[in-house]
Amino acid sequence: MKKLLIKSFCFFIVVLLIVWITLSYYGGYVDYFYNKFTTPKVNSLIMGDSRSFQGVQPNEIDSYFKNSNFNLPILNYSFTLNQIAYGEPYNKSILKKIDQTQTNGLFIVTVHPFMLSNRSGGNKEEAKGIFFEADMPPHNMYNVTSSPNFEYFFKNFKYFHFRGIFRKSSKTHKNGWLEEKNLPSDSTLLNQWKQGQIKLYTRYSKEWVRSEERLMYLDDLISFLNNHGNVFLLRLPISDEMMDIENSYWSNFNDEMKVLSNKYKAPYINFNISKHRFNTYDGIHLDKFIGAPFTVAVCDSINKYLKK
Amino acid sequence: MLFNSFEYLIFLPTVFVLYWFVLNKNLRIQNALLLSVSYLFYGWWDYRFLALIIFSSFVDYYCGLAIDKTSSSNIRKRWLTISMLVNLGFLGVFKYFNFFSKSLSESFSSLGYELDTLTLDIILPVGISFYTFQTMSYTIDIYRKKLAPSKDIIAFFAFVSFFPQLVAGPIERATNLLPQFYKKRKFSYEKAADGLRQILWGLFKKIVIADNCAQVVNQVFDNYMDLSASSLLLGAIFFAFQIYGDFSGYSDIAIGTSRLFGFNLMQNFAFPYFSRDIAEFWRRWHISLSTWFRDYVYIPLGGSRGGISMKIRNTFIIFIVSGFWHGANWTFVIWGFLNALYFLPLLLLNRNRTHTNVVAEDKLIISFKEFLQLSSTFLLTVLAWIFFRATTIIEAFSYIKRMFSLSLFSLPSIDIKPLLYIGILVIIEWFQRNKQHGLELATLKSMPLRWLVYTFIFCLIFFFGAKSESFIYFQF
Repeated sequence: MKKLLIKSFCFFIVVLLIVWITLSYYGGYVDYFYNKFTTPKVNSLIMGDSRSFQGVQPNEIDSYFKNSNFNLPILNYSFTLNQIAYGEPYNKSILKKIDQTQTNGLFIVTVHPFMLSNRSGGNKEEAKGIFFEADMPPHNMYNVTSSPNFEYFFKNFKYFHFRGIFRKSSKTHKNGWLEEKNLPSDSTLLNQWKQGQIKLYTRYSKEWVRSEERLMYLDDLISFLNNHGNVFLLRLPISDEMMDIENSYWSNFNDEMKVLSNKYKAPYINFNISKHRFNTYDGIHLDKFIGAPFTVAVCDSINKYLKK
Repeated sequence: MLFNSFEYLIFLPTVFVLYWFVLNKNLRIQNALLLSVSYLFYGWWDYRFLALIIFSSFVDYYCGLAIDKTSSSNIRKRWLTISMLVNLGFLGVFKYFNFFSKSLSESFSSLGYELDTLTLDIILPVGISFYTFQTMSYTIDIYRKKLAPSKDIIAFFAFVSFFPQLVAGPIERATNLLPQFYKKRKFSYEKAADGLRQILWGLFKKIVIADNCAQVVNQVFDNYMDLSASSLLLGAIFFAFQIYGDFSGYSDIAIGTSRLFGFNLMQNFAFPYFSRDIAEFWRRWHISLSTWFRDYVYIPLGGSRGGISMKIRNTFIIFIVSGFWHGANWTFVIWGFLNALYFLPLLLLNRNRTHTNVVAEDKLIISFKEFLQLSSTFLLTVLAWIFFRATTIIEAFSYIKRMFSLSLFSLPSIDIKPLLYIGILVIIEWFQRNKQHGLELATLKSMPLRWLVYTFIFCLIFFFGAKSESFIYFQF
């Protein structure tokens, strides 16, 4: 019996070692979110869904503001719309990730109508304290700052794709930015993706409704972040077709954001009104080549507001 | 609870420690532990179905005692009938009621009479086909005076619900498994270590082979109208390996787990795709079910005693019943019928027991003749599996029709990566084909080499395992 236990334990150590090495060196390849939970608490943060996850590049922000008063580096703490909407769970997770002792952070809160929506139609579940996202990352994480993060590994094993080590088609960097390395150049395929997004968001616009509760939680979040630095609300560029869907779904969205912006003196930067639009590859996401100048353009806008 | 889940990863060592370190002194308490953890394991899916297995166990326990108590053949038969009615009744209601109701309605409809279909909104309890067959063998064996009834209710209930093989077999005979609950189990290092190896091999077959094949197979069967014949053929081959990896993988984990607790279960798969004819295939595939049908259906029907016509009739009966056992759908019946049809030439030529040894025994490479035999048997099973996988008979025929077209000679347009994993499986199993399982390495003396193999298999599971799919046989 002793022999079996010792040998099993040794094999368990071998297994643990393989897992450890994989997570430590290839964490960004094998899971989209894992690396976000392996860095220490941060002073500056980008928040949002997959649009900012891919489109806002922290290294560009860090180098742009390296001589500023902001406490950098900034971490991209964006996820995807499947797990994210502004609400109590996301706010709690953000609070865990931020160093609350400092007051000079840079906070980019990306917004669009579907991140502030109720997905249960008429049943306003958020009002009853029920959140669809509660059991998903980052909300199901107690510890968001350890490396390796075995809590994430065990709780969210189903999100891992370990053969990503060999494919290396995407990487989530330590600063939280998702770099898609292998996007297709085939215009037919990309057009199919665009049509897919249009179909998906058209369905959302029929089934989801504007959420007063989630707006309230966004209000709370901005209010909290304001005590720790400068907050900027950002609406990322999307295609005209997608914009039409969002406008017909929530026509005065920009006005409501401006109200929030004025309330907390947190500038609202909307990249869908300028003449020079940044093109997305599928209607809502910016690829890494456009993401870089776009992030610089965001920095320019932030800088402009800072000088005012 | 699934064998390939984190819950099981915690459940198994916990039970192991309690079993060997805490409750090792008292056999009855050890059996009580097995019973309670088995109910926990089963109730993890849906605790409501526990009532069914408990009731079924009660009925068979008392029927067994009642059959043994009397010498009157009428009374013995009556108690056996009660046991059969309860077990088959459960199967009938939960598994076949809706099928018969719909089939009846469709039959009347084709004759011009419209009949309202009465269907029940019921879920099929996991593993019902397995444990009802296991308990039926118990009462039948008592009736046949091959087995004394159990007077230890805890041991009997633990036998019915023994968690490693409860939901997908092997379907154990009471004559083999029940006595093991009466005797104090002794820990054997060799047995336990080999059990762990068998579990690892089972996980490989399930997670790497079956789950990877499943992803491609689902795509192929969902879009078979748009795919080339070569893609359809490859899709069908992948399904053959999916079902093998899925089901034999489960059996390996079940047998390996049992060995950790000092139990011996029967071998359920003996490398069936290395069979030279269909008779050999059925001696190697789902052995516990094939032998169950042989002992409790084929032989009571007269077996091969009544000459060739009787043999053919009985063979067709057991294959069709076996098909129906798999699922309440005509596709399974056709699958069974087709296998019986494959058997027919062997029966007529009296060659159904030609190959009773391992192919290319004591040789590394097979002869060309053996290769042809293996390939043709495999392709016949692949053809039959299409009926097993298709949702309707029309779909199966349409799939086969499209498969035999000129595009059979084009390159397949589907993901062929599973071929790599299948290649690894086939190579390992070829070298191990005279063993009990693919990872039986007791004869490999070099410890570093053994550990290298374990690590290699673990890495395959970890890096190349696909998203978890439920075990196919849970639905049967």
